[in-house]
Amino acid sequence: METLSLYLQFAMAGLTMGTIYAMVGIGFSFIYRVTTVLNFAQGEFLMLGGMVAITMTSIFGSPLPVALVIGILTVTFTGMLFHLGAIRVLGKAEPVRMILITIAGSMFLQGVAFLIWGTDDYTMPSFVKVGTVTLFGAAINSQVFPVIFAAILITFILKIFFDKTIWGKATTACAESREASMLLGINVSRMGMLSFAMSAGIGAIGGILITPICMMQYQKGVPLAIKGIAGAVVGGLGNIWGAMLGGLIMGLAEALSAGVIASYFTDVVVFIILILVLFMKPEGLLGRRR
Amino acid sequence: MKKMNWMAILIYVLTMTFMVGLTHAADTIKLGASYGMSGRIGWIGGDCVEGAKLIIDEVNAKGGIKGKKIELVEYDTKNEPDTARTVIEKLIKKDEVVGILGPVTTTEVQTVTPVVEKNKIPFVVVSGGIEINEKILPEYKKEGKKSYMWALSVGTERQNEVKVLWLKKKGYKNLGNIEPLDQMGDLSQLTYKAWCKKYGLNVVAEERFDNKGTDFVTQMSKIKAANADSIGSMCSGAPAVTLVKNRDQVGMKNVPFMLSDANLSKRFIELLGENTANVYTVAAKIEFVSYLKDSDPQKKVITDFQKKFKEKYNKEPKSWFFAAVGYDSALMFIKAIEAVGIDGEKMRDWLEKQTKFEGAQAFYSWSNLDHRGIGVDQCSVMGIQGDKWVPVD
Repeated sequence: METLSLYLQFAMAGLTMGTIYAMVGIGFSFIYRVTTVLNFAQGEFLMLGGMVAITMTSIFGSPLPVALVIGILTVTFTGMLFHLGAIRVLGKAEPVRMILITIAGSMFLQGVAFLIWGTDDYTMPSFVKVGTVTLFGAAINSQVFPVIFAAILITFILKIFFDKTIWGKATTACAESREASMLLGINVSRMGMLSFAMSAGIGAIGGILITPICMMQYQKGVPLAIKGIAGAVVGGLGNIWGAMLGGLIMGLAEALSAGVIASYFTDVVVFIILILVLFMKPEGLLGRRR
Repeated sequence: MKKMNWMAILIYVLTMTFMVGLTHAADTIKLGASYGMSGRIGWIGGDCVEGAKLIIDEVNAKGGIKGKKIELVEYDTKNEPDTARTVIEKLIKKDEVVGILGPVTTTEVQTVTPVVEKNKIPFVVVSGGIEINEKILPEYKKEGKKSYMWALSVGTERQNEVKVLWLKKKGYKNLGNIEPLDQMGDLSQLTYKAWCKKYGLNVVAEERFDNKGTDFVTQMSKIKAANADSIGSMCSGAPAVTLVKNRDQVGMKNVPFMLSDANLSKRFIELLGENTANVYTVAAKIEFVSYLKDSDPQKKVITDFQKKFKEKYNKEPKSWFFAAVGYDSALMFIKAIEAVGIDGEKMRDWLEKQTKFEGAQAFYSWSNLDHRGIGVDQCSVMGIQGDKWVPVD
């Protein structure tokens, strides 16, 4: 293999991981934008989505679209319950408290998944039947295309949601100032629930789509969440395009550092980038100063 | 009246406890089982104990060893190093066992080793990752110490030797090595390098990867760029599946991929899906007994063991390998005690001299530099055929 196509291969591998991280980051950014809370249970929403869809296809033999819909609905409902049962009752609107609750929620959901599915890894067939696509000598897992497509589609839909709908505008208002929104007659707590439900649904889509690439297991959420948060922070927390960009940067940095330097440097490189961005542009690449 | 009843019960209980203690102290030989029996991989301990009880009950039914019955004292280590340490202390101090079976995992073994060796009690573990042959025995030899640990699995070093020998036989020259970033990976990388040097293969690439990662195409394409004609690893489970998929993705489907023996399960083959071509690992004879020639003396030993197991428990164990390890561990103590009595040091010295020890897993040959004892001739490279692991030539 020539050097050029080797580097292209690294880039493609980075793209694969990057889109996965982007998918996680979008959920983080979305919920942060509305509630100014980092939801550490976001990784578990992905895991649950993947697990439910796998169960539907492999045990109940349902077709892929049905599994997709049921997976998304189940996790969306879980997100709503999570907000209703934990955040609203215990959170008292203090961000620190809410963050702690999301960490507890992450552990709780892992525990539930462990009880249901055990410790086994599960996989499901690729959505695209082509298998591997070769581009200028670089091989790409074709499952990456639905992930990229979904990430872009979700970003567009969210853009429209925030800019054009009354609900979207209301959620943005909640993020700007809770008190002012309340005075304007916006049901802040309902908006919080809406944002948890939506980000859970987004997480579920991501989880289901990446399962054919990296499989699913009850502990898979946490490492994904860490990379997703890093990506979202680099791109600018609260900015959906930023989460995508940040995720891609993280993935590319990881693949290129593993390819050009060595595998044990990947985390070092990733966190150097994170620190550099926080130093020079603390609000993230696409974030805006508050 | 009420008081009287309580007193009577108390006296009765005390006497009985005393009697039980007395009789046990008098005519039983105690062995300790410190396997993880609960939690994630608790079934492993379950299999081991059932295997051990098979031979212990058999010997007891025939009157025990020189008139003394054998008693197996079981505690659950939960596969946690801290619990394992407590369990081992209890076995040694309270139960005064003469030999210990287990623990299973490498971290547990590392934690309990100092305690057991201080008390000069032989113990037989399962761990494939403990560096008993690679590091501990050579170091002890230099220092003039004696190791009391035996490990009844093929182990990283021997496994990789079998793999490299097979690759050499098939005419492969350039091995690409890819290992997870952990202790097991370090060890495997070293042993691959050593065996390749010994048997005349080149290690053309040495890659590492994070076990929690999602995709290892980068590392695989580097191995491809280095023109490797074979790949070696000690990876297992989900990351191993991803590695194989990535190998096929970069177009190296025809390159044999040697993986860890921890992948010897149907579940692993299911996870691989369509990517089962040229995937190999190594197993001892217990895993492929039906493929052994009738002339092989081990075939009878293994089939007898399997028959006895099924008759006693009316089921098959989850893994014949772990049941056989439990059986062999108990058998080692029984034979050693028959030969030299219950002194720990004498037992270990005796065990170290045994060659062709007829176990259910393999015929072991131990020495002061080999406490695993499973030779190259006791193993085979395994490939996938349909939904089964089968030995390959």
